[in-house]
Amino acid sequence: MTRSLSKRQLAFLQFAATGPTVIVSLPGLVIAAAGHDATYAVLLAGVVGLAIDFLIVTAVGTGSPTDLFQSAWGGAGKIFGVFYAGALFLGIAAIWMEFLGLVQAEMLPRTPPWAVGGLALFVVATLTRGGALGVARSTDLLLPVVGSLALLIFLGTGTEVRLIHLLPWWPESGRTIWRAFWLPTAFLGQGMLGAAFIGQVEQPELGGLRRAILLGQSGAALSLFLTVVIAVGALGPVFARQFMLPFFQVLHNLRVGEFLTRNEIWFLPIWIGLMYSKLAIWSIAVGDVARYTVGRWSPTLWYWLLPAVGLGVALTHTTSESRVAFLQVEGVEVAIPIMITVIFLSGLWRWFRGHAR
Amino acid sequence: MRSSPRRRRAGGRLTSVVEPNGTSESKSSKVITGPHLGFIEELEVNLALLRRFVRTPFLRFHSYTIGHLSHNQVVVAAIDGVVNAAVLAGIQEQIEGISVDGVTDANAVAEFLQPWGFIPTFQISERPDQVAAALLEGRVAILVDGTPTTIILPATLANLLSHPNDYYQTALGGTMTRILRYIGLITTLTFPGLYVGVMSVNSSVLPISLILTMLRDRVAIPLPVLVETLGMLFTFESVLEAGIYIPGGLGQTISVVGGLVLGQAAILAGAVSAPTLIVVAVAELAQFLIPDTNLQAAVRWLRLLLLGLGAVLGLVGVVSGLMLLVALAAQADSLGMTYLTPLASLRPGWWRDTIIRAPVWLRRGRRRSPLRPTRSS
Repeated sequence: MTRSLSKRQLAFLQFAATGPTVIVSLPGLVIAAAGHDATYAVLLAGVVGLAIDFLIVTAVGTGSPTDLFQSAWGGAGKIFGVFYAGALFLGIAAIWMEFLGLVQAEMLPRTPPWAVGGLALFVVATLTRGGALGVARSTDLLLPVVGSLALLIFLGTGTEVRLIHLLPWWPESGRTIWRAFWLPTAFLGQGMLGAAFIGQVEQPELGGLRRAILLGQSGAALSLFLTVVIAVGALGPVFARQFMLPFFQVLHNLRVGEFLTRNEIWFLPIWIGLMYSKLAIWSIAVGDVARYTVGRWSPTLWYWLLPAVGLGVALTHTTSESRVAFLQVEGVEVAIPIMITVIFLSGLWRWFRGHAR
Repeated sequence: MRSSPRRRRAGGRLTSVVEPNGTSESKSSKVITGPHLGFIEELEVNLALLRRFVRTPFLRFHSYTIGHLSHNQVVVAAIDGVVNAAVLAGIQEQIEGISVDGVTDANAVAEFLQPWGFIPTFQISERPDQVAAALLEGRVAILVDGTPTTIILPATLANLLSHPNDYYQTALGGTMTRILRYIGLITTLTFPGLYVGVMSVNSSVLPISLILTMLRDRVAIPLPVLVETLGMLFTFESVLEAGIYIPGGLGQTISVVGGLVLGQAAILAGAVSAPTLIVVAVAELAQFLIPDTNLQAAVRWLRLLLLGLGAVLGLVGVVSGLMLLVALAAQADSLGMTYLTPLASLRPGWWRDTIIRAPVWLRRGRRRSPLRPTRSS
C-alpha cells in the first residue's frame, strides 16, 4: 500500500469521519438526556473520548487495524477482522439512516428514500473510487469552505445565546451527566476511523500520528461543545430538549436582515457534502477490513458493495423514530464498543507478546 | 499502408532565423497592456517568437513528424533542467505513438494526449508570452505546423483559470480578476441548477418576499421552470454560436442584441419569466470569465447535469452533483500533476499564483513554483 497521505489530511479525515453527526444529530440526543447538564456531559465526554483515541492510535501503531489483527493474532486475526468489519457495517447503516432521515425531514419530504439513497450511493462510490487519497483530496477542498461557513454560523448563532439559560454555572445532577455522557464519548472515541488510514500516511511516526488523530477529534469535540452551548444558551434547557435537532431550531430563528432567513436550510447542503465524505471514509475503512477477512475481489468493489448493503438496511427503516433508535442502539451502543474492544484487545495482546519474548 | 511516425532530429535544437514579423495579437486571448503578440500558422516564426521570450540555450525544440498522409511537423518545447524529465519523456512517447492519417490543428494532437473525460487536462494558447511563462514554470509546449494553437502540458484547474492579463496589472488587480474567475466558474456551473431546484423543489429556502415576487412573475408562464430554463439556455447558446459564424464585426453585435431582443420578446409573449431570463443571462455571461475554451465547453455540459439533478432533487441534487464533480476532479491528474493542486491536496503555501496573484517578488522564482512538475503532489 503506497503511503501518500499527509498528517494534515489524516486529521481532516478524522474530523470528517465524525464531524457531520457531531454537529447535527448528537446535540439533540445529549440535550434530551441531560438538559442543562448537557454542556458538562459533553466536556467530560471530550476528555474521555480523546483519551480513548490516544489509546487506539497507540494500539494500532504505524500500521493499520488489519496489520494490528494480523500481527497480534496471526491467522486468527481474521476472526477479529470479521467482528470489526461487522461493527463498521452497522455504523455505515446508521449513517445512512441519519442521512436519509434528515434529508427527508427537512428537504425532500415527498421524494422516495430509494431515489435519494441511490443518487447518494453513486456519489459515495465515485468518491471512494480514488481510494483514501481521492477522499482526502475531496475533504481538503470541502473542509476549508465548511470551516469558514461554520465560523460565520457560530458567530451568528452565538449572538442568540442568553447567559441566563446557562445558569447555574455548576452541574445540577451528576446522574444526568453520567446518563448523557456515554453517547458523545462513543462518538468522540471513534479514533479508529482515522486509524484506518494510518497505513497510508507518509513518514509515519507515532507522535505525529497521535497528534493528527487527536487534532481531528478535538475539532469534532469543540464543534459539539459549541453546538450544545449555543442550543442550550439560545433556546433554554427546557425548550431545547423538546427538539430532535435543537441547533437547527436556533438557526431557524436566526434572521440576518430581511434576506437571510431559513438559515437551517442553507446549512443543510454543507452538511450533505460532509455526510458524503463521512460515508466515503467509513466505506473505505470497512472495505479494507472486509477485503482482509474475505480476501476476494478488488477494493473498489468492496467500497461500493458494503455501503450498498448498508443503504438496503437503512431503507427497511421508514420512520424517524426507528432510524434514531438504530443510530443510538446499533450504531453507538453496539458497533462502537465492539470496535474499541477489538482494537484494545489486539493492541494489548500484541504488546504482551512483544514483552513476553 | 500505415507506418509508425517518424522522429526527426530527436533531441536536437531547431535554430530559427525567421524574424517574427507580421504577427498579430491572438483574437481569442487579448490583453489590455503587455505584449500584443500572437502565434501564426508558420511553425518557424512561432519558434522564433518563443526564443524572443526565452533566450536560454537550454530551451530545446524536439521535432517529430506525425500523420501518415499529412506529414505534419510537431515540435515539443521544454527547458532542460527545469522540466521534469519523466514528464517530457512521457509526452514524447505519446507523440511518437500517434497513428493518424493527418491532423489539421493542435487540438487534434491534444485529443491523443488526453484520456477521454469531461475534465480538460491540457491548456491551449495562441500567445507566445503565455507559452514562454509555462516553459519557465517547467511545463511542456507542443507546437504544430500550420496552426497558431499551442498545447501546454501538464495543466491544472488553476492553470486553466489563469490569463496573461493577470500578470500585466498590479497584484491586487490580478488577484481580483482571479477571484472573479473562480466565482464565475461556480456561478455558471450551479446558478441554473440552483434556480430550477429552488423553484421546483425547495422553494421554502427563499425569503417570502422574494419567492412571492418570483411566483407573481411565473404565474402566467405555461411552461415548467425546467423547460423554460432549458429553452432559454438553448436560445442563448444558439445566438452565441451563430455570432461566431456571422462575418465581420456583425457577429458580436448580433450576439448581444439578439440575446436581449429575443429575451425581451419571450417575456412579452409570456413564454419566459424575467427571473429565468436573468438567471440564464448571468450564467451565460459568467461562462465567459473562464479563459480556457475547453473548460468552458466542459462547464456547459456539467451545467446541464446539475440542472437535471436540481429539477428532480432540488438542493440535494445540486449538492450531490457538485460532490460528484469534486470527486472526479480530485481523482484527475495531468501527467502526474494533481488536477486540483494546490486546492486539493491542500497546500496554502502554493496559493501565491493560483486563487491569488501575489507580486512577482513574493513568488520567488520557478524553484518555488507550485506548478513545477518535478514536485510531487
